Amino acid sequence: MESAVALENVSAGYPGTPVLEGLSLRVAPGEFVAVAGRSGTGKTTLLRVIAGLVPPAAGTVRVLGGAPLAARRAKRIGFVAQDAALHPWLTVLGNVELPLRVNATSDGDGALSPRDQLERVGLGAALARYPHELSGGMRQRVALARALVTAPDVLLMDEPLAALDELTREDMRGELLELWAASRCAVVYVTHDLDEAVLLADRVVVVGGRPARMVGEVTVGAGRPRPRRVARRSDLVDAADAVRGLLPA
Amino acid sequence: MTRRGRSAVLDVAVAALTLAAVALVLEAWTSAFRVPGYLVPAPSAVAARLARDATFFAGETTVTLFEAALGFALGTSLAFVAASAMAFSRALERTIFPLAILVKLTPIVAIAPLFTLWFGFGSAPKIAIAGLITFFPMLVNAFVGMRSVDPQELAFLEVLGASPGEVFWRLRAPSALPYLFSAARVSANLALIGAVVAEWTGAERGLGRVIFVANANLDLTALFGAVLILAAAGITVNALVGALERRVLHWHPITLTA
Repeated sequence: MESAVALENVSAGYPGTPVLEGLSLRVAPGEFVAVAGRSGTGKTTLLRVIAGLVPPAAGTVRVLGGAPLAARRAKRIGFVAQDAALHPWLTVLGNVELPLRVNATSDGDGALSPRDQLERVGLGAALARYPHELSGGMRQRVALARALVTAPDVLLMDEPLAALDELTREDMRGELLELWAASRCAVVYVTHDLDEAVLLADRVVVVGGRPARMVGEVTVGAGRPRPRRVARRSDLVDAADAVRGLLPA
Repeated sequence: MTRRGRSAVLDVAVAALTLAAVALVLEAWTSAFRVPGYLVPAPSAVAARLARDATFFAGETTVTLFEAALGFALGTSLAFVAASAMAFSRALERTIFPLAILVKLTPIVAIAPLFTLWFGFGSAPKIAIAGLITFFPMLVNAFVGMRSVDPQELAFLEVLGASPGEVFWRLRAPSALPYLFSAARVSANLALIGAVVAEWTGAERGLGRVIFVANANLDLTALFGAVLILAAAGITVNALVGALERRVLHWHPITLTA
């Protein structure tokens, strides 16, 4: 079966600053892969490379068997950033409808109803509100609904829960996994929170160094549903320790 | 009435009260020290003059306001187009910006007579000057607003395959709105000044013309009357821009706390 995301020996960066070096990564369709590493190790750049926003200096990038640009044009990639990055001048509903309005020649292949999508993240009653009227957790739920409304095959997430408080984060992990299970998209989830990586992912890829290379990976054998915290299950504790052991000092 | 409407009315009311207090002090001063009318006219004399020649002043005010408004609209439109071009291309940014600075650095008093020479004594040179004086602050603010978009919102649109045009209308233009309104608060009054200065250098009508003639004739009640009308117009314009800003930018955090 064709990989959802396939990076072969990719190096990338900005003029004078190599950020990624010789990185290879394969994500199977429907797989949840977390990319863990310290802050500032090029995890965001990695997502930009996968989305085709940063061209690789060397190596090849394929998304859903083709060039990233083609996948983007077909609206088969979803993106969630660390802050919700909603348009403050649009209502909640307007924000979730936006992906269907932009690049309208592409139908987004089986797009969902924005209202249903908001219903699914528990914001069915907040359609007419503006982002500044919402809590951080609610805003991030809108961002999730917005990313999933085009029914993408690949979902890229850049520390989407990092700006939230601990309890909201625990709630949202569970909601995130439910949404993922319903959508069956492949996920590349970037985080510096190792427990979070283990709690969410099928597989954790660890990157480190400058420029960043892949230093190893841990397959999380634990079944689903997952508990709220790593400490609840010994297999998750072991996986988290394994990830921690891979991180360079 | 809405909370926003009330606050606009409050702005105007406070301004009017302040002016009234200044007038009261002036009135007391001119009558107590018997200040001659050709040096400082008593506010009551100015008020009497304004009342007596109300139609005349109203007509001249309309001319000036019309010139200023048209110039403001013209300068703002041109600034928006130029800023958009600069936001789209670095090459255009490098070409347009030095020209804009040239325009900015040219003293209005120096070119106003030239414009009168070129365009005659009618409204055209006044509209041009008002537009010119409006142009630069609007250009700089619109450009900064269009460039300072949230990189994550930009990435989100790009991942969706948005075209540069879609990125412009869906993200850059709305992001520039708060900056445009800050600039408009300055530029709207500048346009008024521009129109008056342009009238000063040769005009058939307008408040600038009234001030010029009154100055030559030591007709201080007319002069102060015209200045007073200008001040009132400026305050009203400011309040209008503010009210419009609160309505359009209801989603903007700075507007929320203002």
